[in-house]
Amino acid sequence: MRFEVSLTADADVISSQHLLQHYKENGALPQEDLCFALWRPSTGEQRRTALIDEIILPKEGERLLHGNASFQPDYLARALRIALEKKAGLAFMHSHPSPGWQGMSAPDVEAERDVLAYPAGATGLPLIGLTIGTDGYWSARFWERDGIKMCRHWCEKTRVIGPKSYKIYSNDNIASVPRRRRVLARTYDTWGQETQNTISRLRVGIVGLGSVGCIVAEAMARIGIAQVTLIDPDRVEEHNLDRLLYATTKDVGKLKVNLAARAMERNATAERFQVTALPVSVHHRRGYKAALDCDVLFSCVDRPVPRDVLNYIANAHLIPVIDGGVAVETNGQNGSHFFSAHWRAHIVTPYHQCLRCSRQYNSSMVIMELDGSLDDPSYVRNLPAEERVGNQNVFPFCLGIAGTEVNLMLRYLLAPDWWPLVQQQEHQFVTGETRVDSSVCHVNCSFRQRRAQGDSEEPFYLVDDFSVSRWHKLRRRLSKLFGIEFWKGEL
Amino acid sequence: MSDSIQQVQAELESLGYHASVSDGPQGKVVTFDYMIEAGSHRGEQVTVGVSFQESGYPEYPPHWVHITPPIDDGKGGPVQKYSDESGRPWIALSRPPGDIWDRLPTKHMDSYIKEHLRRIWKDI
Repeated sequence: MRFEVSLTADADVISSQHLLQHYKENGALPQEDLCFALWRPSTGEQRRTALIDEIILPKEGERLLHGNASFQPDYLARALRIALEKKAGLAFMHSHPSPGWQGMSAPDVEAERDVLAYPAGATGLPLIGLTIGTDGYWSARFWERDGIKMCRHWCEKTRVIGPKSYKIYSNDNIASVPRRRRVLARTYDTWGQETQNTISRLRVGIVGLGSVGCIVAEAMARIGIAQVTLIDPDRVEEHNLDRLLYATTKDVGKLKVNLAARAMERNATAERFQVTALPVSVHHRRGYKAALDCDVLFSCVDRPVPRDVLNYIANAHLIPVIDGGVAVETNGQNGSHFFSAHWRAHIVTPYHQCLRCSRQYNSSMVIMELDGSLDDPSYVRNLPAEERVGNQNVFPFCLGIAGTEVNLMLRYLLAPDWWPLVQQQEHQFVTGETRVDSSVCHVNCSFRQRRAQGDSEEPFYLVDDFSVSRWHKLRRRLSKLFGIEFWKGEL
Repeated sequence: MSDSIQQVQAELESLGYHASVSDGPQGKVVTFDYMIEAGSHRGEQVTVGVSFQESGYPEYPPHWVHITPPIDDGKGGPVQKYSDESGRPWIALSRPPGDIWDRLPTKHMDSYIKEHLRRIWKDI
């Protein structure tokens, strides 16, 4: 199991302003500070992440500053009481007078392991310890009970999810700095080795390995990403071949994830490239858990259910999702005349508009997919023309969407403070215009309340193996095939 | 019976309707007697049903609206016709409320009836 911490930009700003206030006021004078925070777990297949969105700052007299800093019992009691009330875990934060990833002094270890970790266990969750360096770099660890001992698990990364940028702080002792590679010379020339070291150590997930997903996969392999997870249950069909990078007529019937994984292994520029290919849907528990192991997710799907799952993950688990789609309009009989096309890509985090509010899907569409309606040809045939989802697309449009998605991710990782916020980019093929949008969620959006809530809630339709929704689809098909109603009791 | 069915039934009861649960072609249907409030059928008494395949209510609302005696709103779209155990003819229209539902401050059958069903009747 890997361990990580993810903070919202609000939590990062509030805590770092407090913890680093003395360095800013007094220049080099080494005065540390401390505070508590609440955290909630996000549990993937191989990663446990502490999500931090609420900081409990000390009141007057609750901590003492003497070069180092110490807290009074009342402060711990207050923080613990709030954690218990809110069913959250307790995190302890303090500052060090040096930059970069921080180790722990003997007094630091004693404070966290011997003084804090046991009472924090009253929440049912381990203590999280965090240290911030003078450059704002967060280092973190979990303190977990193993019998009578407290075990320290150092985090591999800490991440800060913000409106404009995504900051990643790596622990070089666990995620070692990649060696400089000649194959990436032009990439280093473009954004420098330090940025490349951050990018290459990301774990990127691609959900949907269709025409857009495969191009995104190729981009990830080429820019030196070392760990990629591919999630898609579909197989290559003949009608995919005009758009699906990597696929040939010999590949019809093969799993798309396997095809993409093999091509990525061939083309990867990272030294130790690892790809995990999962032939499942992201609303299958295996796919969902694998997605929770990622630092960034590409949504290359056109169905409401996977989009809904990714909306959950982006908001509740603080994993940025980059979504995209194309709309092609035709007129004339059988759509024989091309009229217009536009494609767009969006970043989804708690600071950006969610996929429901940006009208990529709505809650009814999720139910229509789950109850099999969207797979029922008679249902789809009877939909009003404006509600039918078109399948028109061509490879060059897919290049446009994939390029916009990948560049949105890079922009989010590279952006300095002065770059403007870009949540969505929409390109009009006919006019050649690219429109930028930074709308926010509707005031009643249900995803606003899910921010950083982690495992406390999951989509109700997550399935393990043979699912209820698949049963309903099968029942419907069998009923049509044999003209009789199959058993329709509750499963 | 799923939590969603029970919740919808309880919400309808709290609004003064007598709601019962039966089996329909899309799964369980919660039915209730209803006086049409708008449109050309205003004042007529019908039995209305909403059906579920999955849980997830109230965030995920039902999209099939069942009506007996059958009234089609003429808007096209997926329609199913069937008879219940007592031989009453039903029509089921797929009328997803998602376009307005996701923005409602309170997701409750009261809003479903006032905001969604009312616009269906208005169109007839």
